[in-house]
Amino acid sequence: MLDLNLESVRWELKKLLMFPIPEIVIVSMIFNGTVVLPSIIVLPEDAHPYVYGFVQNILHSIILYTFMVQGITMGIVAATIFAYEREAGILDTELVYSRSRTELFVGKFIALFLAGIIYYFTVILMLVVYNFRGSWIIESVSSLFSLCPPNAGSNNIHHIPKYLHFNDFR
Amino acid sequence: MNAVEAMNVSKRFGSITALDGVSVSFNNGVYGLIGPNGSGKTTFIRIMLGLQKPSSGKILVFGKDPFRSHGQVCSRIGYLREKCAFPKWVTGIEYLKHVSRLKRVEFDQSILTHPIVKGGFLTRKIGTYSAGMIQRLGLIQALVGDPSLIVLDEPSTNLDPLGRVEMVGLVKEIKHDNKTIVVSTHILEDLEQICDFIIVMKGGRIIAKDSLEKFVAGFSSDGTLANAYARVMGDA
Repeated sequence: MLDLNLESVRWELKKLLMFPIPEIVIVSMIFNGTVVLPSIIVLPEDAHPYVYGFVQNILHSIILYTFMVQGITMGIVAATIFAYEREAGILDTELVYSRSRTELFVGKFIALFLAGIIYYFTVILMLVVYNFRGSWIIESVSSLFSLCPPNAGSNNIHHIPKYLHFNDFR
Repeated sequence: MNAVEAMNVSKRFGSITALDGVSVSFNNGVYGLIGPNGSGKTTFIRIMLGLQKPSSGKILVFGKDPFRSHGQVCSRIGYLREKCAFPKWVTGIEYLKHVSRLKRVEFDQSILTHPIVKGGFLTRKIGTYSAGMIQRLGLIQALVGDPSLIVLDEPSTNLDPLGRVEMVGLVKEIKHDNKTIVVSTHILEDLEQICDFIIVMKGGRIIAKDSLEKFVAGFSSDGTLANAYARVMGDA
């Protein structure tokens, strides 16, 4: 039975979350997931403009495209690190330290999986915040106190409750 | 039980025969493994550590096959690799602690006061080390966990004269603890000071093996290991 040493997972995870790997992976996921792939893959435009925008930005750009990009980017990063460690002899030394080869490689795989989850949810969070920008929440809350009436021409008007509509206050 | 028992071990890489029927056993003491470049020293060491599988023959380390029982064997081995390299993004101390945790042993703070790692460089990132400092770290990490078998492949590489003296002192210090130490090097002056036994390899074969005194007495005209080695290589 595999007696996994969590130290190998911790070490590998630390390595995968260290400069410049997060920068490369996150920038690549955001850029390719929101700019490159959406311009290649075109969605049908018969839906409601807001629904279309929401679906494109949130469901496709974030969940589908970034996931595709992440698989490729993390694969390249992991392969590069592995090749470097093998070439430099770091892997040989690690193999002598470890209790078994399986333990070492399972540790590397688990760390890669965990790092992938961390990157994925980081990117999702960043893109969700960027897409909403909090604008409709701010407008709704502020209009509740009549401090800042929402713009009647804004697309976000559909999301403001009827009783909070600017015209109702006149 | 011998620490290492190799029986007719051969290793081929395609058409190249790196090891050709090597039979040798190591027990307590310091064994000097010498020979020209490409004589099979590093290949033999890698097979001994279970990093490679022999093409034929059998090798037992502490009575077990190092390739199949890799973990059980390696937990008792300390290894300094030829041209050793370590991750550049951690400090020396962090790395030694990581090695201790991997080997599941308590980190021994006293290791940090050894003359071989004096100067406080272990608190710096490994990326800032000179080649000699990396070699010194390599020597110290091989001692983590108090291993019974220590394999040093080119331990003097990149060390300054003082570093070499300290390396020799380190091996002399640990050889009294009933350990088996295998040293592969080209610097015969160092071996003369630390070795109990000499094994000479050429073309993947062992061409001479004896205690240091008998080897020098048998082959040297001036009482030096270098002279004895030159004679053996000339005769072979």
